[in-house]
Amino acid sequence: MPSFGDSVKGMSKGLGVTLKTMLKPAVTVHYPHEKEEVTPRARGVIALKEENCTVCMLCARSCPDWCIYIEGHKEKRPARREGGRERTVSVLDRFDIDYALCMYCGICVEVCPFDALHWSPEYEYSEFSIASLLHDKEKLGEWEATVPEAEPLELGAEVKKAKK
Amino acid sequence: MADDEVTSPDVDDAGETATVATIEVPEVSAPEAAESQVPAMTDANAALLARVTAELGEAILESGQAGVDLIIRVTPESWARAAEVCRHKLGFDYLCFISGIDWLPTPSVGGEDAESDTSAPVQPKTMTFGVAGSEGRFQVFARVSSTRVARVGLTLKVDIKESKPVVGSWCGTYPGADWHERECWEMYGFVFDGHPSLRHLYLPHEFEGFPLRKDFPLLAREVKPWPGLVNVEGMPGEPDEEEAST
Amino acid sequence: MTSFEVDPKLYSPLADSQLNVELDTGDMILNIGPQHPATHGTLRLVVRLDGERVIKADPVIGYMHRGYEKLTEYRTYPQITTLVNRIDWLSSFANEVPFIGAAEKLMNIEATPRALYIRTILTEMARISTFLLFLGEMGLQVGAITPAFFGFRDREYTLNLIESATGGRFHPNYNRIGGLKEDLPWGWVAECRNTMKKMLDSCDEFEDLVMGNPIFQARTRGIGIIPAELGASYGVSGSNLRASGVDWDLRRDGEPLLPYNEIEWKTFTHQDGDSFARYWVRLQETRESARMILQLLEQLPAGPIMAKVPRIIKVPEGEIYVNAENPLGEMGYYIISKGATGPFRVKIRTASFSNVSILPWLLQGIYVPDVITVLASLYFILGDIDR
Repeated sequence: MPSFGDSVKGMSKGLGVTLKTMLKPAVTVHYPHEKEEVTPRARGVIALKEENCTVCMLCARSCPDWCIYIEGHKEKRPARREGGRERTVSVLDRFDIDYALCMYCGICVEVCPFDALHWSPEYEYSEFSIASLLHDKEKLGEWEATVPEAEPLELGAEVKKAKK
Repeated sequence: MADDEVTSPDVDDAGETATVATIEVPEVSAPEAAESQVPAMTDANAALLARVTAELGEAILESGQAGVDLIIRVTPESWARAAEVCRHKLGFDYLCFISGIDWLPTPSVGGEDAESDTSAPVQPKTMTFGVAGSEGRFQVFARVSSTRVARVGLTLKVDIKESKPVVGSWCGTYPGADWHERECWEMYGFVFDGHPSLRHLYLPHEFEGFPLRKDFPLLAREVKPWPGLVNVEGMPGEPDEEEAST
Repeated sequence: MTSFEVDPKLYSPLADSQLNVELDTGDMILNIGPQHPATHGTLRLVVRLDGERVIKADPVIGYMHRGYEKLTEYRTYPQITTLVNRIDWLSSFANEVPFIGAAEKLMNIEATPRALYIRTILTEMARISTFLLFLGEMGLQVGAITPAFFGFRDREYTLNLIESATGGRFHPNYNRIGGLKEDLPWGWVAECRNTMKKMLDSCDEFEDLVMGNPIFQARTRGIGIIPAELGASYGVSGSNLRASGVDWDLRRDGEPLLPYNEIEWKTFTHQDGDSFARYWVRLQETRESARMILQLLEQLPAGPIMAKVPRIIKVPEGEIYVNAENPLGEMGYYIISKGATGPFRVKIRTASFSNVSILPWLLQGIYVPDVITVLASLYFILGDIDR
C-alpha cells in the first residue's frame, strides 16, 4: 500500500484530470438525431452499376463467403457503327448479394474488371429478418447514387497514369 | 474411413525418398540443401545444427531450412528427449507452438467445375512432403525459440504412424505444451504419451472426428454449389458458347 | 461463503460432466463466465474455491472457435487476409502483416518502402488502439469507471484514422501481397500527427488518473506474478513477458519484417511481473508507439504503393514461419505451400492462446476478486485464443 501522503497526492491528481475533462465539450453524438460524418472510403454497402456488368462471374468466384449469386442471358444488340457486326451481349438477370453472409472484405469490388461494383459508405439498412438482407440488383443499383467520388491521395503517393 | 485406399500408393513413394535422404552427420546438410533448390543453410543454422547433433546424435533423421529457421526431423522415440535438450542444453526457453500436419492432398473446392479456375485454391493431387521430409501421412511439428538470443528459432518435426498415432508429451519440459497438445489431439487424433489429461479444448466433448485431418469435410463448402459456374443462358437456337467451353 | 458438499451426479448435467470429475467436488465450484466483462468474449473459468481462495482453476475455451486453420486450406491467399483480420479483432491490422509477410517471403517479393512504412504506422496504430482499450478496461475491472470512458474516447480517434485510410474500422483488409490496397487519402498524415500528439497527452492523463490511485495500486500490486522463466516456457509473450523483466521484443529481436530499425525507439521492462507491472509496461508502450508513429510520418518515403506482382497469385512450394510482435504478443503463421493459389496448411500461432494457458498455474491460491484483476491484466482477446 502506498503511504497516506502518496495516496492523497495520487487521488487529487486523478480528480484533477476528471475536473479538467468535465469542462470540455462532449465528444459523443446523439446518434439517430445527429450523425457522425463517415469517411468516403468506409465500406458500408456495395453498389452495383448494372450496365457495366458483363456477367463474367469474377466477383462470385473470388468471394470468400460465396455470397454473390449471378444469373444472366445473352441478347443481340445493334452494331455500334454503321455497317458493323451485330453484337451479342450478356445481360444480367439476377445479381444478389447476401449481406447476412458478406464479410465486407471488398474483394469483389477490387476484382471487378469492368468497374461495375463500388463501395458506398451508407450503413443504415438493418432489417427485422435475415432474409431481407439479400439485396437484389434493383436495390444494389439504388445504392449507386450514394457512392462518393474518389478522394485525392496523400502527398508522395504515386500518381497513376491517366487512363486513355 | 477411406484413408488406406487413398494413401497407400503415396506412402510407398515417400518411403523411398525418405530412406535416401536420411543423414547421420551434420556436414551432409549443405549439399542436400542445394539439391532441393532452397538457399544453402546459413552459418548460424549450420552452427546450431552442429550443436543439436552433438546432443541428439542419431536421433536426427533429416534437417533442412525454411525461411531462416532450422528444421530437424527426429525419431518418434526421441521426441520428448528432444524437448529436454532444447530447453536445458540449447537454451530454447520459449515454446512457440506444437501442432500437426496431415500431408494428404486437400480435396478440391467446388468439384470439377472449379478445377481450372485460378480463383479457387486447387491443390496438387499427389502427396509430397515439406522440408526435412516425412515417412507417412502424419507429422507433429513444434517450434521453440529463445527470449535471450535474438533471431533464433528451431522447428522440430516427428513422424506419426497412422496405425498408432502416439508420441511422447512435452508437458514435463514445457508446461505450455499442455493446451497445444490437447488441441493437436482433438484436431488430428494424435495421442501424447504422458500428457496429464487429454480432453477436448475447443470442441464439445461429445464431438466425433478429427477436423483438421484432410479427409474431414468442410461442410460449408460441400452443401453449397460452387458459385463460379458461368450461368448465362444462350441465345435461342444457337449453340451455347459458355457451356461448350467448360 | 461456506464450503459444502456437492453431489457430482446431481450437478453433472449442469456443467460438462468431465469438468466436475476433473475438479473433484469437495469444495465450492464457481463458474466465472462464459459471459463476463473481463473476458473480452466468452471465456468460462471453472474455479474450485476454499472459502474465497482459488484452489484450482480450469479455463474452458472454444465458445468462439471458428476453425480458421481449416478454413484457410479452402481459400486463396487474398481471401485469407480478410479472415485473419478476425483473429484478434482489436488489432486486426497487425494480424495481416505477418501473414502477408510470410506469403511475400515465399514468393520472394518485397513490398515497396512506402508500403512498408504505412504498414508500420498502421500496426503501431493498432497497438495504440488495443492498449487504450486495455488502459481503460483495466480500471473498469478493478472498480473505476472513469478510465473506461477515457480509453474508449481516445481509441475512437485512432479507429477513425484507420478507417479513413483502409475503409474498415475493425477489419481493414488493407494489406496485399507486394504492398497495400491503395495509398493514404489527402490530409491523412497531418491528421495523424495531430492525433498522435493527442495520444501522448492522453497517456499522461492515464498516468495521473489511474497509476497514482491508491485503490488501483492496492488491487494490482503483487497480484498475479508471472516468473520470467516459467512465463517463457508457457509461451507467454509480448508485454506480459516484458512486465516480468524479459527484454524481448520481436520488433527488435525477430526477423525484420517492418522497418523498425530505421527509427529510434526503446522497449520497456518491469521487474515486478505483477498486474501493476503489466499496466505500467503497456502504458509506456502506448506512448512509445505514438512517438514511433510521429517519427515514421516524418520519414514517410514517396513512391509506389505496390511492387510488381503477378496478377494471379501462386505461392511457390515451400514452408516458412513468420512472426511479429502483435499488441498481445507473438503472432506467427507457419505456412506450408504446395505451389497453388491457396496454402496447404497454415498454423496460426496466436499470442493470447499461450498467454492464457498459464492461467491454471497463475490463479492458484489467489482470492476471487483478484481473479478478475489477473484476467484483465493478462489482456487477451477470445478470438485470439479460439481462432
